[in-house]
Amino acid sequence: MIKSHGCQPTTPHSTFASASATFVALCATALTVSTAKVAIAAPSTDADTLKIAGSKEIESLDPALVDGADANLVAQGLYEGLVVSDPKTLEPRPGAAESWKLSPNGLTLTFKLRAGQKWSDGKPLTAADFVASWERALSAENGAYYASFFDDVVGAEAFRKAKTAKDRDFAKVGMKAEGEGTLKVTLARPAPYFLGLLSQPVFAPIAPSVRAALAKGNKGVFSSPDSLVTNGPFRLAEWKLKDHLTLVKNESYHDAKSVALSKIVVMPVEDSKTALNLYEAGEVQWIRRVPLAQIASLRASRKDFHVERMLNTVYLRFNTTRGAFKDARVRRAIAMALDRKIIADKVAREGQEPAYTFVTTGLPGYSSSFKIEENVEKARALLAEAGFPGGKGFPPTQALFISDEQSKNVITAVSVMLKKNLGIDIGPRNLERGVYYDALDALNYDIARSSYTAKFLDAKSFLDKFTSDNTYNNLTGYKNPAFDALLEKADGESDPAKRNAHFAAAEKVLVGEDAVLVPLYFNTSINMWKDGVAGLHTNVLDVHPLKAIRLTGALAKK
Amino acid sequence: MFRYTLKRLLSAVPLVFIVLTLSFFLVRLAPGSPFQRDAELPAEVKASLQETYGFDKPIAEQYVRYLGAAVRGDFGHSFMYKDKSVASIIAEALPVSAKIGVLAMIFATIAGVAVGLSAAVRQNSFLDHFIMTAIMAGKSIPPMVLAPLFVGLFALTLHWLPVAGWEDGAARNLVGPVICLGLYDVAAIARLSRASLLEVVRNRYITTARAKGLSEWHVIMGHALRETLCPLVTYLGPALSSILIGTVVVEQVFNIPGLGRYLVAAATNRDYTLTLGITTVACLLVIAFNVVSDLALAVLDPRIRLT
Repeated sequence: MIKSHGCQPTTPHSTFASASATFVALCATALTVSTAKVAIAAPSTDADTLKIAGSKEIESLDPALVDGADANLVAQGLYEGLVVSDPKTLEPRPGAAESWKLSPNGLTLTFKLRAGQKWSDGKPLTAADFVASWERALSAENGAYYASFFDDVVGAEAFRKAKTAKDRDFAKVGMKAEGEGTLKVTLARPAPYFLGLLSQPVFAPIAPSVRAALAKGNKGVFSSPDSLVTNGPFRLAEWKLKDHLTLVKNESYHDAKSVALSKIVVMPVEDSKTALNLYEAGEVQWIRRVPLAQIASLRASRKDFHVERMLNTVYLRFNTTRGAFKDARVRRAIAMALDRKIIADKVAREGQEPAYTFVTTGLPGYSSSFKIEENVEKARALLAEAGFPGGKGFPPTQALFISDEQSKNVITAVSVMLKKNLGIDIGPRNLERGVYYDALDALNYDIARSSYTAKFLDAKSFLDKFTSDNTYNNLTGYKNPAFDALLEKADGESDPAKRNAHFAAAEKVLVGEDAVLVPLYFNTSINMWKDGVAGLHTNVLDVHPLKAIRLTGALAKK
Repeated sequence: MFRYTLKRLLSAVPLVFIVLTLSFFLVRLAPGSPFQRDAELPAEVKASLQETYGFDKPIAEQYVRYLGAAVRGDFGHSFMYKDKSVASIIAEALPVSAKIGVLAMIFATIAGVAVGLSAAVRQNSFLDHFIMTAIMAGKSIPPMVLAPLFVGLFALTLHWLPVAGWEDGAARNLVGPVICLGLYDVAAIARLSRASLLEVVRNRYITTARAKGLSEWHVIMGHALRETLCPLVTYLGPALSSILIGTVVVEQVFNIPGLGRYLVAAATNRDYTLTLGITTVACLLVIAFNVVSDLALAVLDPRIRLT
């Protein structure tokens, strides 16, 4: 009832109130009815369509700029390199090349392309397409993130590091087409992992029409289904940023008959809870991330939850040029004073393995020659020897990490352990990614939480980050000629056992003696896929060739 | 009124210029580089990127170039989504945010006014107290709590609605985001219209209307409503412009390709061009909706003269 001022007596006016109440009720009913109706009209899933919830939106499908798990997944469906990875073992299998030969000295690889291969627009694919694409990937102006993957090829490093286009000549690079169907790659040193690297997107062939569009300055060529011509088992059908990306089977693909899926939809889902909801509701059949808080319960209760160890190490790195951290004894003391089992099992909680070495376990043919000893007494003695008995006089120190929940928990645990065991104060400090790398770049930090995923199945992938000349990855100020020499020795060695022994010796110097970095744990990959998804396997690089996947049982019948 | 509109729009030009200038320098002042990735970039690649994007030039020159291009509507290429231009990203994302935003506002206005008026008509009754308490509760639950609860109930338990996704704006995909986005404004609009009606009925012309023997329905709908809506219009203008820019939380929970998700990603990844593009669009929307709401006010309230 409204009370108005003035002399007029007020009377109850219920007509309007009941009218509006009716209106609200009507609105509510209308809403319920409409939602009920639309619920019935839910679209059904097509047969042979796989829906995947990825994490971040793919930034580019330009092979030079493909980066991150989702972009790699899609790129390896769109493009086919000379070799492809086996979905289980990751061994190189014939891709665009039907066979290859390695010369007896281990330095020349000769590839024979499959005859009659076509691009998705029906035009023939030739060896010259590969060479032109490799030249593009190596040209600095195209900004290929992984151009250094070519470095084992004769002349490649000099070509990509040339200051201007005038200072370089691709004729000097050991990658040549011989006729339409043969490619010859000459290596500067034996590199047993190089063949496997060729499955990476940076080595993918780019179609002549795409190259012509790029030459005209058309930057959008990689995002439009009309212009993106590819040679892989799938081609791009639609790409709506932040919504979904659709791949359809490429009928021009040389092995189209063994491609089971007719369509793949990848949704970028930043929110891991939303991804899990989509999966549980059956709207996607494969997710690659779940909320941190739910990992333990899913892991314990679900058969479709797949954890696999990865070639990924989470570690602390030191700025070896600053203050107390110049002293290897201080760094070693910190390495020895941590309880990695607690960090892995109680803090990180994704089924990670405590890491006592930097190179992960499970790398074929490699085993580390040392193991970090966890010993608080020895750690205290080392710290005292370095001039900080009981942590007295230790300078205030910050440990940087990139903002995310798990990193925060891990760094907090580390700082509590160091306070308790060594009496030193380490303050956790979270930063945005760009700011974090700026600090590392300028060596303006003490300790930083880092993580590294090997790019190929070789100890070199872990260790060559820390050589004296690798300034853009080292970021610790560490320079040790003995370490560099061991890596160089390994690089020149063609016998796999001796090669790995050199790497093991180098790792011992880097981590065991100099303690430039403190490994914490080896990460795991997480995948959940529905029962009827076949041909998917977990592996240490968490890469999954889409060609092998098919739908069976209830999923195929939908 | 035409003169007024023209004047307002012209005065917007320096405003947009100031916003553009401030944002241009502010994004560059932020620490961190747009080319920073999980893995560091080789020096030669970094140098070539700097050159491609003109970062090797003095900042004043970069600014003049940017301004020149922006005037022509060219906001450049996104740093993050390298295959897309900023204009094409906004052209895709703005209609998505707009569709949800406008629907959410319509829902909020209808529901808010109805609820607010009901409460006002029965001031101090049980209904009034109930509505006001419910509204306070509604206002206190942020979308980041509400949206997951909504999904849990209507999508995962009752299976009435999809969990997330856009599907080109299909009706069933719109219900969740629209309600979760609109509910906050329902509360605000209800409080506003309740207070406003209580104020308006104290006017003499309402007393006159009642004295004529009109039914309360006619008094409210025919006489009081118009003036009641005036403060609402001033609220709706800015509210609509902010809702159009997108709302991160709702867009993330329902995985909707709207502007909000882009803005957050662009800002944290130092995607200068995309950040500036979205900021400019936001600025234009705020100005436009303020003008529109001023004009609407003049239509509703003949006592207001726009000069």
